[in-house]
Amino acid sequence: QLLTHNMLMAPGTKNGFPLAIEVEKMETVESEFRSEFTARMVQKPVTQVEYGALLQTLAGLGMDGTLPPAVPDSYESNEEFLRALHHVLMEARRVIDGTLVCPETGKRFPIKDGIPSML
Amino acid sequence: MCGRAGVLLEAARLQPLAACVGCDRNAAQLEGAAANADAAARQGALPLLLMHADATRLPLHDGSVDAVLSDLPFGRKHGRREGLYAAALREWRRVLRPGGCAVLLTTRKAELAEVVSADPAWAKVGRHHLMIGALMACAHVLRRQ
Repeated sequence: QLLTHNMLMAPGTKNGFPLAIEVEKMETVESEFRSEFTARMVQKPVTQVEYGALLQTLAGLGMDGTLPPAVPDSYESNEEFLRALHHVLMEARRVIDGTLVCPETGKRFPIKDGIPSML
Repeated sequence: MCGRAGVLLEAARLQPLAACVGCDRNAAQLEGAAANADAAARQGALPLLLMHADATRLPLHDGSVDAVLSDLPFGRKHGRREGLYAAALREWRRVLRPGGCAVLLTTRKAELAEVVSADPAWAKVGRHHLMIGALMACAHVLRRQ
């Protein structure tokens, strides 16, 4: 799911992030919304979701406008934002089969049965 | 080196707010992990984030992880890799944020202790001795400085 994609970089590279996604087979699932979990996934220093990279990825998947251009202030209590983020990270466009492409080297990493192969 | 993710699923159960990432380079083990994760999800757990990856070359950013948990290969079932502990510890040092912790389980405690002592980035927080079946194992708790 996109939460996984947002954490992935091509091993051994400096800027192999975010990986471009080529979809062969994907699905949308339902996943229980947990506002505290989703709030913790928003970019903090060093960890968690990289928001700019997420927007870039969404644009590549034809999902522009699904999320606001910046993380809103007081996002922890903004349920509308958190629900939209949850949908994007955990539910929509779960790639079952496809390929991830490193933006730095062009190396291709297959996704099979929803699991990216980053060897 | 999450294997079928038994330990990771237990951690996820204890800390439901954590995003739990499981990495293994054995695709068959990962299939088992996915099946276990699906079963847990049907009971209401959050999905695990699984990756087919090499513990010595992780597809994760520097300092992007709060904690590392590993039931290290003991060299009996899954084969021996020379220098695996040293290479994995170097990679975990890279991906752990400063102040993050690692809990590493192994029967090869002298080897792990030696690798840890050689790297000033690791502070030893504690050790817990336990039995895994008939094997004497040790869970080393480390802090990444």
